[in-house]
Amino acid sequence: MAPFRDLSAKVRTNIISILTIVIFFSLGFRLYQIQIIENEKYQKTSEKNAIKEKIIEPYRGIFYDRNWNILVDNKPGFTLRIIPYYFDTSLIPVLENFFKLKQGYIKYLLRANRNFSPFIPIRVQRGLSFEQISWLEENKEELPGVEYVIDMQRNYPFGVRGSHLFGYCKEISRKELEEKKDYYIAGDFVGHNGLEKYYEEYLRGVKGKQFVYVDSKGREVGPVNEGKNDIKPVSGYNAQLTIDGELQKLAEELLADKSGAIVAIDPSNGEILTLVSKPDFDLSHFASLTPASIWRELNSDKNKPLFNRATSSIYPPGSCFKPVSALAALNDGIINERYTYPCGGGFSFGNHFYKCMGTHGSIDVVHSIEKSCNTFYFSLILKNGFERWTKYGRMFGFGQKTGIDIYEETAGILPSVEYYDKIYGKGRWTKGYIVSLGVGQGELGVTPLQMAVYVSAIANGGTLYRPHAVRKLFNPEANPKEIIIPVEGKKLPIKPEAMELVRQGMFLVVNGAGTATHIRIPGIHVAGKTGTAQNPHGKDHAWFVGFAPFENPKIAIAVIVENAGFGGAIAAPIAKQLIEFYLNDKTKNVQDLAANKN
Amino acid sequence: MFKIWQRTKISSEKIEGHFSRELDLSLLISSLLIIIIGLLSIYSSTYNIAYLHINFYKQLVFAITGIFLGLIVYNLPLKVFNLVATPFYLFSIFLLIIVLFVGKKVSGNQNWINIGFFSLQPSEISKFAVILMLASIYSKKNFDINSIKGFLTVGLIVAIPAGLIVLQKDIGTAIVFFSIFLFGLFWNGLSGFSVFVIISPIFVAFFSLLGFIPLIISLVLVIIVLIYFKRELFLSLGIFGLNLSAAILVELFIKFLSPHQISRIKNYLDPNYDPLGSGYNALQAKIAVGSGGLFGKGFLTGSQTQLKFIPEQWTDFIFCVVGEEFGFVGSILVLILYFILISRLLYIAKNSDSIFRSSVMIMVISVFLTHIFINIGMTIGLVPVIGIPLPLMSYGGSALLTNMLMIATALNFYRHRTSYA
Repeated sequence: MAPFRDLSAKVRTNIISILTIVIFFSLGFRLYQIQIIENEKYQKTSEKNAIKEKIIEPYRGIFYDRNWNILVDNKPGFTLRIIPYYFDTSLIPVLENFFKLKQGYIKYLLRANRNFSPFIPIRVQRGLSFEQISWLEENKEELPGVEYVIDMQRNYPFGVRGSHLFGYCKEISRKELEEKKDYYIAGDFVGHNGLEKYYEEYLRGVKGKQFVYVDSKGREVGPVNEGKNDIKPVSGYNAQLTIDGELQKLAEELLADKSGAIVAIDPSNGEILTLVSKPDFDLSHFASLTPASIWRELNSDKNKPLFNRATSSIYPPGSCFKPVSALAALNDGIINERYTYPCGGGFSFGNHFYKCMGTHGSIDVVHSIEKSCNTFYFSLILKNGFERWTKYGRMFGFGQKTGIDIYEETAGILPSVEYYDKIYGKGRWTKGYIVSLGVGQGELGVTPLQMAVYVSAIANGGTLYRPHAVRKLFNPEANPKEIIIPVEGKKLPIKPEAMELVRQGMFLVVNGAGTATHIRIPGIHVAGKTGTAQNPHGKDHAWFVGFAPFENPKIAIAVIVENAGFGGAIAAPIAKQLIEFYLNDKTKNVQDLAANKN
Repeated sequence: MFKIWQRTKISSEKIEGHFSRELDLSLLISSLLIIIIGLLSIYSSTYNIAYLHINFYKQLVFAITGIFLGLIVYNLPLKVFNLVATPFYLFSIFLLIIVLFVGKKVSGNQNWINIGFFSLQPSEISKFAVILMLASIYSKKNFDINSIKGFLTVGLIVAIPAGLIVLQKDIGTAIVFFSIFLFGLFWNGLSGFSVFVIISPIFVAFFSLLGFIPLIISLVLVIIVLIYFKRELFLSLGIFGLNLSAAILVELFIKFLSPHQISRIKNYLDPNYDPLGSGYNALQAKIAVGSGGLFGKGFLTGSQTQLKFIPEQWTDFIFCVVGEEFGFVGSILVLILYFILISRLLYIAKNSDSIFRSSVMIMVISVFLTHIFINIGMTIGLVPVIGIPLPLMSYGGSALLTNMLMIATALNFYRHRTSYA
């Protein structure tokens, strides 16, 4: 036993015993007090005056184009929901019948959500009609656990489809919910691709909270403390896009019945003016809960309308890539402007003969671009060497992601010594393998976006900008009020003389005796390059890349039309119409402004 | 006084081989029942929410792990406990320092170390470490509790981890450390007067929070007790001054508390203060327990629990589930089980023949008693909301394992209650 002084061991044990008894007695007595004596009071409170947090959805930020036209906004819509806890499953046939749902759909939803609290409502259908609402109101009493709420749905008032550019919102997936459960709850709509996904954090805003009294069945009785404790939602940031809505609309029309992509960029800063991928889909189908039938249709379509060809599809660039070879050779002094190569209608290498489209005789670098002489470039890649060719390809952004503010992007393929070693094995490939790369065919794979970025860099004299579709985010309610998306570009180490020769060549393509003389625009000097991407699966794809005005480029563009054959015939005229529209429209606007001033 | 203590007759002859005499069945069964009720409550409070429901299975795994670790501890030779005291103590101090740098924040407190599969809470482990360390000091032959040196040694051993825990803003656990300190001193013969000197400022400080008149009353009580002890005038005056300054310090101390702690205190003093903010939990918890009635609303059917009115209910507010779904009958059953548990611990403390073991037991009692009183007390509006878990019931691996090891230690001591170590 422990040594005890003024109090004996027995006394100390007893003191601790008494303390224990006092503690347990007071706990027990208090429990008796609230559970037995005051039970009725608490029972009532629990039934009637339970306080529940209700989430108020913030207003999702809207999209303006560069001229402040509204491209994407929100419109109120009615959504049918069921609360599993109160829902009577015998109502399933009635609901499915009235709302024309697929048989078994509600059962499927209930099963899919069985791991969540039965008090969390499940969205069944969005975009209800007034007829359907009035039916719900009339039969309210007979439909326990069935309700409708007003929520916001995406709306596209300007008539621009922008399917791949804007992207759509979709109910959050389980996986994503697991990762971001600090903000989202099941059933939340989140940006699923395109700009909606990239800027989700800014667009979504911050949810508000409303405190309401609910009864023991979860029914709302009234606001708590006259709503003084409620937390207002904060709207999301609105976005001003760099897109020109009118131009985007025209581009979508021009490519309407085709497969392909168009990307137009402001060469002075990398702002995307237009980004179109076709075939596409109607985003308004995604504004409400998307019926499974539409999903199936889109997913099984062999033309892959969900796929963003502008940023994720890779094609051989064909002759459009020739300026890269030319720049490499000129910049490193391999050739100069007086250098010529004899074109006799083709190029022999090993025991293979690579054909040219014509017989160009002794041709220099400027005219090799103008005439798109293959012979010149078959020889030039060997003169340049594979490594140099790869180095300059990489310099112009090929074989790597551009960093556009859309997640769905592919790096493409830029062959290199390592790449060939990897796919063919070291020493098991010969120089003959790289000859066709000289004219942009073979394993080389580029996205239309990469092409637009590359031609922008030629247009502006050698600065490679990160392409971006959002100029700024702004929200007067939030802090900071405005977020400007920075213009990021790097000056490429290209000599101005080299650049000028290539630009000359591209100028002559349209304005000389080149491959796209049919797209001349009166009063505007367009420069460009046509290309044909060999397609082993069918008809070749047609390319055109270009920029205008030549003297002070305002627009750089890349157009690809799948299975359209020679680039000059189909792709170039589309580019012409867009350039003409954009530049004339611009001049017209300036004139209008000037007229208004006077 | 406690019939249950007398169940097993204390004898100094060697008891060997007989199962029921070696094993304290009352302690074992009451502990296991409490763990099972805790698991059921966690099951209910996380029911329907997939990502929370995993907590039930985690706790189940911890409980099973605890049983295996407990078996090891139960079979350890007695001298091991005294031997590991110092290294265990130093290790826990090390962990408490580490957690300040790498700890992750959980609801205002920064007291977890994340080690992949499991978040370690050093403050839980350090309770047992301090207990063993203090007991080891008390059992030293030349230790004098009433000497300045002895008192300071004990004070320092508690103050280091307690201070580190206060730095993590975990006031609840710091209070538990104070309780360990006090029980150990009291049990080992600190004079009644000294106990009064330590405790009285706390009471005065508490009463000063309630208002001016309670403060005056408490100070008058202090004067009466001082007269009863009949010590020197200057000493008495000094102690009175100590009490007075405690009241003043409280006002200053409030300024150092974090906003959520201040609002908890304010809310305790006035339950209608901010019913949606800090008072929300306390109010909803009381509604949950109160609405349970005599027999409760039934397993998995408590509306407060199932509608998730009480945030993070499976941790500190686990008792709400018992109160709401199993009613007064269930709540009292839990209290009785805890009472049996503490009674058995006290029995072992009283009948251990070494200062070390009896001190360990009395300090384990202090931990359990403080946790039970504060936790259930805050759930039913008896004490302010101080975030500490309910032993063996609240969700949390570190706390559950530490508590189970304490029980295993008690069972070990019971088995050895007649041997001399």
